Amino acid sequence: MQDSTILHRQVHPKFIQDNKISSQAFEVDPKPVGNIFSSVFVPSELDKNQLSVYNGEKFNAEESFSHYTKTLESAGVVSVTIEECKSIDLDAVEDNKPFDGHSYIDFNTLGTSQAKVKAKKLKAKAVARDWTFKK
Amino acid sequence: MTEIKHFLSPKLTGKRFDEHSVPVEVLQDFAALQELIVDLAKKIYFEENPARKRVPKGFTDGVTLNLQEVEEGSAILNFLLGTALAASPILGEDSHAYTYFEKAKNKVIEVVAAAEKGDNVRQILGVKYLHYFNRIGRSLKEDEVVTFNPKASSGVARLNKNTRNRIVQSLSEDASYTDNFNLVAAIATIDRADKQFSVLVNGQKIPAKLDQNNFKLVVTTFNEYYSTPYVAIEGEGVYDRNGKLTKINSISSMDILDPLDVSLRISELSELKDGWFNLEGKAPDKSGLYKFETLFKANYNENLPLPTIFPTVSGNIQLEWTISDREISLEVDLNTLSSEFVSVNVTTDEVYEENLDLNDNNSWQNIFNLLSK
Repeated sequence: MQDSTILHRQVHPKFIQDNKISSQAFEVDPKPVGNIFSSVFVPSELDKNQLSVYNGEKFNAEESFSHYTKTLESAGVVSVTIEECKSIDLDAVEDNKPFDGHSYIDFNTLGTSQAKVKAKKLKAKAVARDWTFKK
Repeated sequence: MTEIKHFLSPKLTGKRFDEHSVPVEVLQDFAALQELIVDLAKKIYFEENPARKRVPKGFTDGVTLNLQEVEEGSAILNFLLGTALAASPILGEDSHAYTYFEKAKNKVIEVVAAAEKGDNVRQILGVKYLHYFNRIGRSLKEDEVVTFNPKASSGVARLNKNTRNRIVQSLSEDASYTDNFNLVAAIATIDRADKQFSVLVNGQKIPAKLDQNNFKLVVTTFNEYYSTPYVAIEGEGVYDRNGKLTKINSISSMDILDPLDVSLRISELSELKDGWFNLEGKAPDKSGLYKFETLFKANYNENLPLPTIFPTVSGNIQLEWTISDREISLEVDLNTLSSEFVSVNVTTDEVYEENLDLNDNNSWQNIFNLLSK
């Protein structure tokens, strides 16, 4: 993966409120982009402090959504680049487990409080990019 | 000449009456009570004077319940009864018009007391008279009670939403009844040809009439369905025996809700079940949610932007704001209502964290200060 590689993260429907994320809406009346919950970027216990993402070199956003929603719930996809992760001292790791194209953003060395701060920074970067895929 | 006499001193309890005042809509309920008492007085007159085909001339002339004053004690209304026909030989043995109105009042009190005990009110009054309860007590809210005879030692007649509904449900075979409603709904369909629309409440479509008063707002709301789906509607509708609204008869107000409306969001979150997050995720505790809502409504400064509110996997909630370059969250423990405020300036990397007890008014002032920076 390169610094420019984009990483896709699925957003659970319950982590979205006021679904007003449209690029056209921002062209005519700039507003904060959507209201994507920063917990999207807080690794859950399932993630084991590894924030699961799709490797953008192997899945585009829509493909990642289709793959993910075969078994789990998602309302759409937001994305950050590896370079953006590095800019806030987060590493991205390609592990290809449990499937080819799986990667994670490593939160292992962070305490809860630090993880929340990093999550907010990741959210801001993703929101600035807008949804990369929306159901 | 009209003679006036003290007639009824009902006591009204509930939050709206704490200031010893009575909203006009509640007084309208008493206007319906007046009509019932007049109608009932006539009925009693005929029962006691079977030879009479008509009530005496002037029997109901000038009969009005006049509000004399609102006393302290939640709100106690003093009603006077004025009638032009005070005494006349034609009135019968009691020879006083008041007698019949007093008897009518006592019948009403008997019906309400019976409803409270769960007794059959149809054995006391006929359907024609019970129909007045479609209007009497219609304006009462959940916490409100009208005690018609507050000084009585027995047979106390307390009219609240439950007792009123029991009376109204007794009217029809299907036990449907009309009552006021106040709900949040989405506009589901509009049928211009039939001048109807329907609202979606908890997955159920409820029909309503499209009229000149609500047409513009209904159409606007419908057209913005995907962006601003909800409206707060107040009006009168038909309920089934289970207390479920089945039809909207009339709408008194309809307002488009802010998409971040906190009550609406809390209501949505209260519907979550365990496992809501891909089989993980504890459902937020309902009583905790409503305690939070109460505190929020009482203390959150309306000049601040409304937060988004999300469930957390641990069964709590997190409020979020994006203000300029700051990403802000307030994670609230629904058991204790303690919270953790975190603000991150994503440009300067400035981080601010503080624990706040939302039971403490000062914490809300702190939130205002922190968000207003």
